Amino acid sequence: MQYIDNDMDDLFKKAGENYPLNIDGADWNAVQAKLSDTSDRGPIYPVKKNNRNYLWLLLLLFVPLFFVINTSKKENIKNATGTTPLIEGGNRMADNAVEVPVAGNDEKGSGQLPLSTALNERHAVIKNQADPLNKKENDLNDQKKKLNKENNYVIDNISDDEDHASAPDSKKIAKNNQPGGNVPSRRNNFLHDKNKKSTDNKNIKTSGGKNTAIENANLNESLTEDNILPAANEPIPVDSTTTIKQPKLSGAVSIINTNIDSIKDVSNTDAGTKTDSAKKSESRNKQKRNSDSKRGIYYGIVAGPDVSTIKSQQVRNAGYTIGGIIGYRINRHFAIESGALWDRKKYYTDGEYFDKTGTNIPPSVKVLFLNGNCNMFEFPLAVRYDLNMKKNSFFATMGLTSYIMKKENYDYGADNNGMYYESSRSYRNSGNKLFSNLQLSAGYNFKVSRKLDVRIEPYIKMPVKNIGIGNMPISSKGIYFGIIRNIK
Amino acid sequence: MENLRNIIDACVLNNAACQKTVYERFYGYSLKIVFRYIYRYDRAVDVVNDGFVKIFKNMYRFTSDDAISVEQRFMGWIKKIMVNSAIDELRKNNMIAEIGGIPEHVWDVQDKGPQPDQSLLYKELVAVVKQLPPSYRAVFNMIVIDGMSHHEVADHLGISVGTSKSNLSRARTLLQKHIKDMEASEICSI
Repeated sequence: MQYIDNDMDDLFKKAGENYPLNIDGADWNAVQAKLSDTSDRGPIYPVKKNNRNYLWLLLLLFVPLFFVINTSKKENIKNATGTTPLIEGGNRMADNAVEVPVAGNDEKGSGQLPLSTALNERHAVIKNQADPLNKKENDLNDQKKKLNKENNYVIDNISDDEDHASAPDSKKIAKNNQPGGNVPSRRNNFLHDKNKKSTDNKNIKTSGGKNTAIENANLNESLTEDNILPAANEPIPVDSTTTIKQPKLSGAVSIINTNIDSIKDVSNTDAGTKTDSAKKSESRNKQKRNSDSKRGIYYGIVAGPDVSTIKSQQVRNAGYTIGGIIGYRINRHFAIESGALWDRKKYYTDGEYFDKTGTNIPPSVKVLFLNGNCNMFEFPLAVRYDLNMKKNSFFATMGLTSYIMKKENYDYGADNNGMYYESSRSYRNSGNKLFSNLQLSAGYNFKVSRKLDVRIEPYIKMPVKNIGIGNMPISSKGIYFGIIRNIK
Repeated sequence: MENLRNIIDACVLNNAACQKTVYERFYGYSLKIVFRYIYRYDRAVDVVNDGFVKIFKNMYRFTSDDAISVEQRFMGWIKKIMVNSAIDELRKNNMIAEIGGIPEHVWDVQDKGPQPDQSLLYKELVAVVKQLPPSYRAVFNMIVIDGMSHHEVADHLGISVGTSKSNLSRARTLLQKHIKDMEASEICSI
């Protein structure tokens, strides 16, 4: 035991080299068997493989493109068919039915084209259509006949009851009513009358002083706006034989004139005579309202597989990404997104792409290959563009991601002075990189409910800066599956 | 040493006879290295066999221009591979300490060495080293017996240099304590 006090290390060194050990257990057959087993698989030294099993994920990036092209084609076809005449076919019934109110423009306000004329023009078109349209036509024709009959009755009464002074006026009314034959609505009736306003006024002025103050007062009471403009379902007012009497006409005309003016203003804006500026402002307002309604915050969770490579080398394992995102929708198309994601990336690289400056690997050791994985936080900041804001829509995002590296684990093979060996190392908090990857993605958004969306988003992340303890250019591909909730 | 050079060249060409020659010639040397790290003898034998498989598969990597030092260099190369294989085995078991004693049959007490007493002493010392916790044992073996630097140990074990130094210091303390206990027991027995 005297050696221990003198030089303990030297003693243990000698002991380790010369200690008595039974070495009879050599079994060459076992070694040979293992050699033959591994000889088929080639050398133990790792062989580079071009394992591109996960590259099919890139094809998913083309899926949105396909749908966009398909959708635009459908829209083109729809637009093309939408401009064709109404008689195109029975399957266009719904669209044609919607277009029928075009005739109603005349009904509403212009007064230039009575409904009967419009109906006559449309008659040839409509008569070949299916039942709903024919029914509507028949109703309008019935109404037309009824109005003709009533107008004739009014004219007859006037001509019978009034004196000769009113005769020209009555005739004028009858004459004016005759060509159209019918007045489809009260508003149109007044507009129709307005066209004759000048002649009517003249005739009324020449009718003498039969108008009294009391009659005017009665007339003012009876011709309130409600009376003049009844509900649309009420019968046409000209059927009243008592209201249209010669003595009351002068008082009525002034009221009618003012009402006509107001109606004219209303009709000018409501009906087909809208000006372009009005239309533009209206569409602008509509767009503004739409964009206002789309503006808002949304948040959600995303998760998905992550396939990372370094310089397009082989992929041996897939990692994953999970985390939360939050976004602000600026308008119908644009939104800004950010979030916090937890990544576990797995990658393989040759030693040449691994910078061992920051590691404790001795300079004499040449790293041949590394199998690495890392855990890190990822903070994306991206701009999202929605192709449309329909129920389900495609979108694309572009942005930059920042990383906070938490842990890196490496199993590596190295060459140390001609000797091959394998080892492993771990590094913690090896660095943060701001905006180190460029992220591009395109995906599809399914609207599950009013506030809940589900999205599928294939992505690709390209390195802008090298990351990790080894300063490696890690690129990633994968798909996010997300559930998004809209706050508004 | 030209013979060894030729044998190695033949091993590169997967000559089974030459491989067997190398195996039988360096098996004892390798087992003595590995058994210091691996507590169980049978596992140490398996690790040695695995190490030789690695050697034969990577024999083309061994280069030595100086014919005189071929054997020394080759033994050094074998030692590194065996140490790495042993460390891999320890890591596979998460450096967990094993319990149970070392059977006597693993020792070759009838050593033909010039100093039988010294052999017994060496056996006792190695047995004490094997009693150390695996992490301390590995560091002590690598630095004190196999002559590696702290940097190399840190690289091989995946620990920091500071941890390596700390483990070595604790290993030494434990060994000193063991030896003192052994001395005390010998005195008591007398």
